[in-house]
Amino acid sequence: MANILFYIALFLIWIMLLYHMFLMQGGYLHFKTFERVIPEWEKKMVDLPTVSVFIPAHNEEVVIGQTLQAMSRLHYPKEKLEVIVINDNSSDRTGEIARQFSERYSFIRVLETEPPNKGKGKSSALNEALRKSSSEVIVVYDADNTPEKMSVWYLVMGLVNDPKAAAVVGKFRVINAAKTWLTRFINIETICFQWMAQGGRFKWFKVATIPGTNFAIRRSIVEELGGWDVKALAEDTELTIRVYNKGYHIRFFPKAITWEQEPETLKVWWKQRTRWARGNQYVVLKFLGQFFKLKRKSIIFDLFYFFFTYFLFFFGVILSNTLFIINLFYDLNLSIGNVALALWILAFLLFLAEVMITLSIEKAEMNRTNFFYVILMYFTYSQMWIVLVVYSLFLEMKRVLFKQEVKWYKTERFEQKDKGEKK
Amino acid sequence: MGRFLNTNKQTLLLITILILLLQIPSYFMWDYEREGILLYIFLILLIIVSLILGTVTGLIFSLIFIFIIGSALIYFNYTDSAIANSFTMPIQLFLVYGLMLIVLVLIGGRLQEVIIAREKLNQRLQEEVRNFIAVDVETGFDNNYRMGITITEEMMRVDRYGKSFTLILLQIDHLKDFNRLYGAKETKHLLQGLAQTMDKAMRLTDKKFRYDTDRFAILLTETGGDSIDLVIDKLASKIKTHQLLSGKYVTLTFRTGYFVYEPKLDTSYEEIISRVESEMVSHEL
Repeated sequence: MANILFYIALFLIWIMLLYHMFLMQGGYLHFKTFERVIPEWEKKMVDLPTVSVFIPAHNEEVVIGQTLQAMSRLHYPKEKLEVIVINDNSSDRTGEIARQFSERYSFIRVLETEPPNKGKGKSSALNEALRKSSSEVIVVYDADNTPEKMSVWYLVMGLVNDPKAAAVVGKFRVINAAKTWLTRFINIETICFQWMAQGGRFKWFKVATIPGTNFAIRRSIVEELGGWDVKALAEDTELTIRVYNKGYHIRFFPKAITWEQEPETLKVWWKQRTRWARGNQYVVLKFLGQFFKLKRKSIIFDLFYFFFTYFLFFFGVILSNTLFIINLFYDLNLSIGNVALALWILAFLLFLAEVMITLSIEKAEMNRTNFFYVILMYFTYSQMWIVLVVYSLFLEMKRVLFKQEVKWYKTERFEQKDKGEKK
Repeated sequence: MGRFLNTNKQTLLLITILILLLQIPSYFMWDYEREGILLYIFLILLIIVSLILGTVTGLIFSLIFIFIIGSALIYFNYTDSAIANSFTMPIQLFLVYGLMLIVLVLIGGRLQEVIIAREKLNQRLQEEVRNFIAVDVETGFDNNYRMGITITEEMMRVDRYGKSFTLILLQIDHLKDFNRLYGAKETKHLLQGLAQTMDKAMRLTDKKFRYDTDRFAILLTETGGDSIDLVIDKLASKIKTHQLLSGKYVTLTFRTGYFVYEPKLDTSYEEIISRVESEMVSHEL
């Protein structure tokens, strides 16, 4: 029995590694080809749509100034652009700082949330702005983001040239990557997520997930879908599934780049990632339960990815680790012997090679320092995720069983220096 | 220059590290007979791939190789095959082998990048030198490269501001034979003499070029086609007789042609040269 379970666990892990290899190839190919359309696409950028940039902000005084400074530098006709800072129940100087910018720049305005959308989290804040704006395209940025000058231009370019795309998502990079060992790990993780999960899935399956920031979506689609789901902790993933289910697709266009701040301490990281994990688990369970009602069965690729990542893969890792540890104390008659260790080593080497290939896509990220961080990451950061997924699953089950209300955790920010336009 | 030398040092350092690190797996692998030799051969092949095709390709092939080994191990172990039992290499050594594989592929790829970058730097420096030296050493006239730029600019100027210019091409007949008969020194003296005579015969504003071994061009700015034949005849009469260093006189023959460029003509620099050269007339005097 132990042998069978061990083989099942190995099989799940090995399949996931193969899938990631496949995604990594796709991501690399996408990197090599995605810019070729731009000269042709530029020709259609004449009759531009009106754009509203939503920036939900709750107690963001540390970062909002820098963010709005970046917004003031956006390359887009100012008569067709408005930047709306959605000041959601802030008790700090967020509103004051935002109003200073709105006095200086006519296209920036501040919107105070009102009941019933007040203080209820990001989804509610976005819905509030949706009601009080009228542009054709909505772009969303988190309050800690500093988008590059051309990011909104490229997001809109994707929508203008791909009429079947409901949304276009860009790429995000870590502005404080060199700050701590944790932010270095997160930097590597985000690069892998962008190019493997987003780029790879888009290349092979024409599927991408809205990442919550640096994306543009057609207003008509958001209104058709009834806005953002206020019960979802991962409102971006939840919106993605509904967009696909309506028959549209989401384009991954990494030419649009934003720089965002990542947690610098473990405590903040834990809370943020627990929210994400719970949010994604909620989405997977919600839509898998409705699988037969889904109009676009191809969305199963997206659901499959999250299901596999959050359930099967981690289940496989936990199971194999558990059996391995038990076998140290009690002979389970595991027949796999040394081969299991060899496979463990091979899995580590696959991880190392895949991540190094993905890092080569971003200039200067494939270097000696990151090589050693990737090795360290396998034994630390990646293992932390296992614990986090189990913990978030426990919290999610508790919420469902005891019918608890979802509480939005606001990620704490850290002081950053404005580095201006990043290349 | 500093950058060039640093690139050389970096290349040599990477080659040294690669060769030294290759000794580590070779020292241990030979003890494991068939499986050790096989793994070592694959290691060499993957390094060669990264040296030729770069880091990413090397890593992709390494990835496929690692995955195949792992899948084979799972399969043979699951089917209880004898092959699985013949895997005798210690786990620690296997881990070292795997890490060395990735590290050596990365070094091989880095070496390839450095060599390619050096090649590109060489090409760029050569291009800069070509741009910098635009003068023909023997005559002091601008060379072919500068001629193309100057005439193209003049065409654009005429298109924008009007007027016209005339381009005269002149080819010395039998220059190779002259060189064979009289030697390199006399040939150099001939070319220098021709250049001096052309300089004196033409206006200061006329631009002179030597665009091939035996070919000259004269750009007459703000000049139409009227009386160009007289200009050419006058030039030819001045240069037809040449005194050698030995004191002897020789008669030279030339072929000439000309083109009058007027505003908004639908032609290119290359087409002008090609057309004039094909219409050249001999001036045997």
